[in-house]
Amino acid sequence: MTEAQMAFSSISELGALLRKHSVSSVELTQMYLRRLERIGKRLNAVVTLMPDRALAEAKRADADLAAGTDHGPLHGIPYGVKDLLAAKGAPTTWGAAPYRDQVFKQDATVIKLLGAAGAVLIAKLAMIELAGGLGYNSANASFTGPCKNPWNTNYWTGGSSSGPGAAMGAGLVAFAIGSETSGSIVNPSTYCGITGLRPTYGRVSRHGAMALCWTLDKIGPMCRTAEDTGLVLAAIAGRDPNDPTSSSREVPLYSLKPGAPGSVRVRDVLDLVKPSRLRLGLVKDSTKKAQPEVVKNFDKALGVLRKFADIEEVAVPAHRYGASIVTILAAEGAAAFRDIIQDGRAATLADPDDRRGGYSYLTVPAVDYVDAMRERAPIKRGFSKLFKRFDALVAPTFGSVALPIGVSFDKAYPGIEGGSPIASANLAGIPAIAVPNGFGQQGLPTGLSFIGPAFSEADLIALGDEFQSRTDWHRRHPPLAL
Amino acid sequence: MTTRRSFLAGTIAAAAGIAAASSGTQPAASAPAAAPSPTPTPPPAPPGPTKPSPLALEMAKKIQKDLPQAKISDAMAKKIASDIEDGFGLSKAFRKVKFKNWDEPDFVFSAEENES
Repeated sequence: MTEAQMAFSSISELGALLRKHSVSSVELTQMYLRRLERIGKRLNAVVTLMPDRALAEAKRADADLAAGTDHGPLHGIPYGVKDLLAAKGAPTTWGAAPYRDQVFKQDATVIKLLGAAGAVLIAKLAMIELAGGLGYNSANASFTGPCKNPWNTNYWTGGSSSGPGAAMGAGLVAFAIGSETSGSIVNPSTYCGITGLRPTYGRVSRHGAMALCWTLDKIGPMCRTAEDTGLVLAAIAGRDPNDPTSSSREVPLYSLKPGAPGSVRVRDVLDLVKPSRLRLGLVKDSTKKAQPEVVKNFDKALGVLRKFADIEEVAVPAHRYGASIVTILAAEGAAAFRDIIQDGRAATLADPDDRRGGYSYLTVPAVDYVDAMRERAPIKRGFSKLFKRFDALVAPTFGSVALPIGVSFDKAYPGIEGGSPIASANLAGIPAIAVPNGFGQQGLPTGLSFIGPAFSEADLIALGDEFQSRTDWHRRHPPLAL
Repeated sequence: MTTRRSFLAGTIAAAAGIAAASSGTQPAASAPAAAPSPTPTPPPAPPGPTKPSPLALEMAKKIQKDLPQAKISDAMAKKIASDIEDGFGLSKAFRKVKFKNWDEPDFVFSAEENES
């Protein structure tokens, strides 16, 4: 097995190698550290490498396994996190110059849970400054520079989980943790040709994560396969007393965790739950103004989906909720970063729009914010009504491939729109999984999303897994990483 | 990923759609379909910055004066005024929404004491 083959293996494949003692966690960790150093830094994907902590955790994982203690599917698996999650003793920069020396004394809950599951934290990964909360308009909106797409380095990875997107796309970690307020997991996942899961709001604790919007922020896995997202979600989902918004709902599928070494076939679970054909709602107009290659790849993907699902076009709440999400982002974002807006540190941010955006946010009328929050109930009702007819919705995740570096977003692809209902779905707090479905302009990946009811991650993962069992787009890798 | 300007562009374009909403009585699913989702490839943005009204200019000047530490230049204040003017567009959109008195905001507030 070559280094690249190993680097691009899924979690379950790596787990099998570890348990056969074909490779150790220390060896895996050293390999990924080398790749992060060699490739990751070229892509501006890395903020901080953590070799000391990583090797200590890897040695412990190897020792535990040798002693017969198996912590489950993530045991000994190296991973990276978006640099908005606190990791004890390491800088946690939030991608922003004003916070580049910030250090916390404890790990975020997600990192603690992954540690308990035996995973090995090896890197803090790049991100758009403040997760894009102050209105960025270019790929350069990070103190680490524009994160380069491993498929074409003249193009951006997407954001705001840009480092996780690049690191997964280039095989620099076995899985990564990102976050989404409105699109920040599914966007880089799509642009980098990987699989990203945006969990239901409240599914995963945000304790120790930078807050941008308290009522919208979610933490989720960015992986090679749908199955891998399930394995990671299994470790990080659940109630956390330190995050009052975290849900105590049962995580049914993920009760298959720990102690279940090797592969967990989520599809088998779905077969038990849904023996009949699935019903998918095709989001109307989602390809109307998309790039031709996005349309073509999506049509081909629909052909795959029709083999196991009935598909019917349906109108979905979309742009009419733009006012709500902008207002909530502005009001909560201004509150979250009021200190640097008021004291002028915002002027040190990388993107000109970020330096300026917070000041107008201070003027959002309170009554507009309250009305924006009132809009969320009918949005949820609207989706609930749809999900009585459909198991999930499907759409191309975005109407275009990745945007070029050096061109402001609003000038990149004039007239191109379309894609999945990201604003309304985030306002409703419902989950989505983004999977790759081909390549478009400039050799860049395209993707589709499945969107489901609140707490339906198991079904979405199973849907993604079924699609990936019939396609190989998730097995394609960029030449620079091979 | 979100960008404020792309959202604003989309929002302004969809203002008529917002006017059609009547939260408590018209479920979202029955809304007319619009081009789905804000994307990183924004809808056609208004060409150049929005011309600020006298009120937006005054508000920007007030921010400039109230936040001396921020050292906001006159040129920056003009751009902030333009952003504020864009924000007025959002307020206009909300004024068109027909809420009922009993349509509650979806806050996370709870009377229970947090466990942390």
